[in-house]
Amino acid sequence: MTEPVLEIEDLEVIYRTDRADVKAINKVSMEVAPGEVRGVVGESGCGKSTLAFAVMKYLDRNGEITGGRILFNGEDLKEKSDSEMEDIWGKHMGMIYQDPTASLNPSLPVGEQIAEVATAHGLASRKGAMEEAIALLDRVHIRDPEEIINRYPHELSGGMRQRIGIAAGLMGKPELLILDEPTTNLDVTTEARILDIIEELKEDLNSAFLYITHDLGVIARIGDGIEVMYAGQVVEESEIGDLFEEPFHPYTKLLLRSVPDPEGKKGSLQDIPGSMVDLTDLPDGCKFNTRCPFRQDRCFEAEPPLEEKRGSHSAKCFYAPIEGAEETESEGIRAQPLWEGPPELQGEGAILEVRELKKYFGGGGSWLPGTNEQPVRAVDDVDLTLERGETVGVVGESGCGKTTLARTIIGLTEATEGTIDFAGEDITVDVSRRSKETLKRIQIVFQDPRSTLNPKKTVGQAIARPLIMHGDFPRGEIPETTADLLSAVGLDPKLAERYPDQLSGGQKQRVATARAFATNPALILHDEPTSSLDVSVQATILNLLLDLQEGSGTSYLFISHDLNVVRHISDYIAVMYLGHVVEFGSTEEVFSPPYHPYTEALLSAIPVPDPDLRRKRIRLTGSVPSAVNPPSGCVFHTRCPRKVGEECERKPIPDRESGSHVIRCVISEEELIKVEPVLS
Amino acid sequence: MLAYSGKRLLQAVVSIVVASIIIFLVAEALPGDVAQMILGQYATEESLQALRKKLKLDEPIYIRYFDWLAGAFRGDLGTSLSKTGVEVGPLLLRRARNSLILAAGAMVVIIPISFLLGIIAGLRPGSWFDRLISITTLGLISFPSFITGLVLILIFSVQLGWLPASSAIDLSQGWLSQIPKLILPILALSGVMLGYITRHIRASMVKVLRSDYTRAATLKGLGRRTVITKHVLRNALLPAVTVIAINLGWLLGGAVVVEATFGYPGVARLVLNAIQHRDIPVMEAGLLFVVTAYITVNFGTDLLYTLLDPRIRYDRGGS
Amino acid sequence: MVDSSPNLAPSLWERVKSGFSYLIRLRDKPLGFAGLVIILFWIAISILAPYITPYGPTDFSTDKFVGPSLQHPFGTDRWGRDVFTRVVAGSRTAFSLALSATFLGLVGGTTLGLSAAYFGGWIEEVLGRLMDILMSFPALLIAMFVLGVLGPGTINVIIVIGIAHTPRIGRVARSATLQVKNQEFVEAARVRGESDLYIMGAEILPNILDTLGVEAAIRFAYSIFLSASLGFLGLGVQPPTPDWGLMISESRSYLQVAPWLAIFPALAIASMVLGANFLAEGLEEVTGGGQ
Repeated sequence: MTEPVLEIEDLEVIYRTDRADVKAINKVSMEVAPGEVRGVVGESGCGKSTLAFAVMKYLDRNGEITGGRILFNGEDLKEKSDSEMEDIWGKHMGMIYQDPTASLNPSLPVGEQIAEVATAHGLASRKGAMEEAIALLDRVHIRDPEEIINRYPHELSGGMRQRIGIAAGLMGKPELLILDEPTTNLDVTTEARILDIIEELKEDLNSAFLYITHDLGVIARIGDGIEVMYAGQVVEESEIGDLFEEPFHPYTKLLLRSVPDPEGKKGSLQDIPGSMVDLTDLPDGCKFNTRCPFRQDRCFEAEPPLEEKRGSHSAKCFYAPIEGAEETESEGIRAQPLWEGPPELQGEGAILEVRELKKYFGGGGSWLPGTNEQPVRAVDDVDLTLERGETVGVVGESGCGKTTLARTIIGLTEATEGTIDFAGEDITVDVSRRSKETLKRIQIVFQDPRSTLNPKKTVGQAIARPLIMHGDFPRGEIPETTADLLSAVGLDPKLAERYPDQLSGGQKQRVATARAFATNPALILHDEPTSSLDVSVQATILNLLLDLQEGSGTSYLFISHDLNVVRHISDYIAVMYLGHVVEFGSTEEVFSPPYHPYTEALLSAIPVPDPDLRRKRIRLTGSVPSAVNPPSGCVFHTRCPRKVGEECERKPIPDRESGSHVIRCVISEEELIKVEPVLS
Repeated sequence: MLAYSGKRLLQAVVSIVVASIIIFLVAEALPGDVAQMILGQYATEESLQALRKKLKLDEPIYIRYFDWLAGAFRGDLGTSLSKTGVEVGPLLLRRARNSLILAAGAMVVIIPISFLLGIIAGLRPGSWFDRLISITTLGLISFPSFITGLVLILIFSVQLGWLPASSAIDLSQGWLSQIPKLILPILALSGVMLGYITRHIRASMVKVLRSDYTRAATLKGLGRRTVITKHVLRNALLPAVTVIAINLGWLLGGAVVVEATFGYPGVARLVLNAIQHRDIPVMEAGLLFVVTAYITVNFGTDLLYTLLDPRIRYDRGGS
Repeated sequence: MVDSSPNLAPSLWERVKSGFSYLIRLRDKPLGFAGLVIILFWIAISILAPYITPYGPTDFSTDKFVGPSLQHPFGTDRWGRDVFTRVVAGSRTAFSLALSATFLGLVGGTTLGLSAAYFGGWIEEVLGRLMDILMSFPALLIAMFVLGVLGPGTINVIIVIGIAHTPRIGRVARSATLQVKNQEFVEAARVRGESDLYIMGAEILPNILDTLGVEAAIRFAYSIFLSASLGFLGLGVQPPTPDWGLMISESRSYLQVAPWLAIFPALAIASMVLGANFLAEGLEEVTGGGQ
């Protein structure tokens, strides 16, 4: 057994604010050994990032370590002066950050930003350091490193920038590498490649890794040990396999169940009732007692210790391991349908039919010579049908055009070409030129809970406004209907008097949902409504949407980057890449062979919270081509692992159809179906 | 880069043309008959007509505008109405040179001091020095320069008798002998600008010091000195280039109060006197000069900025 | 049933409370609080002006160039007018000028900046360019120029300073609007079918008021600054109206014999501008940075 590089003992960190002291870390202990990846997992506010910076002894000005010790190579960091820490930073402790763009100096070539770690610590001459930087870039699989070192950060893609960040973190050959959500801002296929790199590094180096993330799937893939944090405490600690096999703590148990898994079907998820406790006013006893479905009287009287339950698997719970979580029903207010079924629509046919839709931005001639611009082809030739009462999920990575598609359908931008039919009526115009009836029957729920509600209006005003605009109510009934709508989305009607900044992210998304349902719409577009929420909150919102659909028969078009989320809510799925729908089919069809090669890669990249899961490793090289100048023929051919030959570069690419399932690919269906399922 | 420069050049030219139209139209709207003003109230109708014809006052307004613009290009800006017979071109040139001396002098005072104070204050936000700078600079921008000027005159001319209160410089008497006359106007002119630029640099320093990349550089163990010199200063001081340029343009025309306080023969006072005496050719020429100088300096700065900043930001025009 | 219905909108009292909450929060900002005190002091002075001054602002007397004394705390000028009375009365001139000009600039600048940013496209291009050009004239120069055309006088000074403020406030309003206009609640309003006027007035405007409030304080300070400068140049308010800039201008010939003629109006100008600038600084801090 090797000595741990890092030992944390009973660490306490407090942030002092004008109002109160925030207890960000509350008696946390853990060890990280050389060659080990120790994952720290938790939802926002659990203290995981604070932990990372506390270990670096670099907290915000108002943060303070108020108790416990941090031992690094056996030495107490509390004793270290600032200049001693400067010697440790970079050389003995490296850090990799969540936002690679903001963490790189915009006005310095990236090579210099890597090499300076070695030169500052006197590890190498400038020339030697530059050569080492080039070798490191090669190691993180950057092509042409000699050329890349002279580039500035803004000239590189997000994935490339994060590799630069990793190289800078490794440059000093630190014994401890702290990774603070290094893949959170990246697309799933890029994330998969970064995780591959980290896995390789783990094999090659004998460093200790402290890996901070909110994503259980990521840790399941690369972690050796795991710490689950809640409200500034470690609530469960274990070897990686044990935890995923049988989580002991109720929080871990519920959290794992709230992750949409790739084998699930359309249907409700486990959620965790209530919300994160207030760190300025912690409850007595167990800190999870405000939300725990298994709580007993004892949980309010005393705080359970983090104790070993079986082998090295510990949990901070009197009753762990908890059995039979399946039976628990969440106690949260369940959604209730407000409207009796979908509205009567005049037209016939599918609720939404999109034909040959194109949306180009910019471009066209400029009267200044030499500045003619090509347009950005955000959506290029998309066909989509959505039947009444059903859900179509649109999935793809950033820049694939999924959000533009939704914005074009709702009319926030006008289509360049093609048609959009709503219940048989052509609505292919800007929102300002649509009929009142159309406006009333199509609604949208946006992505960002922070900006979806006007901060200067109360929740009640936000929900009442569409009622005033479109509802055919007498004015006097509006407050009552507003209250009913709030109850319908599982919120207390008293919240009507609150302002958005007094609500949690999940509550805001519920208000936005209530606002969308206010006019009894026939179709609601959901543009990544859960992507900025914690996973347990995401589960509650997804369940809400499913309940509301069941009651009202409203059709959904659900946009997401997350295939697993889409799987849980959709009847049909459209996979988009670079403005094109490359595959369309029922949820089962899309998740099993035959696959479009892009879908296959996407499925293989998703992190799944199951370390034993065997699956094919398909990695996409290069980055997404520019939508200004997309590849000829099949837009995916530049990165396709199954590219056949020149016929992929010529139009038209045939649609391989069987029933409702369509794959746009040169490869024949017989060939496509021969592949193994990605997940097995 | 080239396309961007071309676009900016075009914008600058359009701006100058539009400004010249505004100046011309407003000047034309001035009440009073120019011919009458020149010849006095006892002039005969025939002589008035003759003069109007000579000055092309009877032509349509757009013709006169183009005549004026074409003249300006040739360097012929007409003759002064109040100082009979004096050509506007050379007069303006002389005054512009004086204004440039004043502006350059102020810049020599402002730039080193504001950079130094702004950087030191920005490095330790919230410290006593920072608070002191914060209050002092707010004070500086709150005192109109005629007040600063009068205080300086009261102290250095009236009380101590060290420096002249009037600054009617005459370069023909030799450069060195004129320097004492320049000191007080330069100091008075520097005050407000010194405050603004110091505050700007301080704010920029604080912002960059709080950035993620400064944190990342610190946690590489580079040491504070290297972090500041290599990562912070460049990013914090780059935006100051624009601010200084805007102020340089401002100094050329905004110095009117200082020029009036000290009786300094600059462009701004020339324009002021022209307005008071309804001397339209001088007024138009002076204003056109100030605006052109301002826009040209801004254009030059934009080009300089794109050279200094690796991120060539095409969308900067809007912000 | 009525009881179960929630109140949708905040009550009037809550609105008033939230309106003053910024001023209350200034307590913790020494600089901002000092500014508030100075401005409140001057407001009190200008309201009480007729009651605290022993003479009329244009009353002549034979006591010429009397230095500060009990009878004439700030001395008298060459017409024997009481300087204290004139400084106090001058605060009314300064306030009425600065408030009106700031208001004018706010209305013009907000309208231009908000619509430029909201509509975008060629409207933004034209309005943006126009504001840039207007800004390329130093404010004082525009003021001189326009006053030369219109002639001096109180109303004209207000118009001129308001015009000089317009592009600057417009720029601030525009960049604040740009930050709000692509937020999802604005798009939600468009999807709902709201009119442009409603979106600008009811959705965007309330969210840029903080920024505009800070800007208004800065522009108020600058209005005092500008009107004093114009008065000094003889282009502003005309004699015998009590105006601080004008008083300093008139004092210049007597700097050696009667320095109090310049000192007291100068202190008045400086303190009022300083107070407004302090207040702006404090407001910027409590509203979260403004820009």
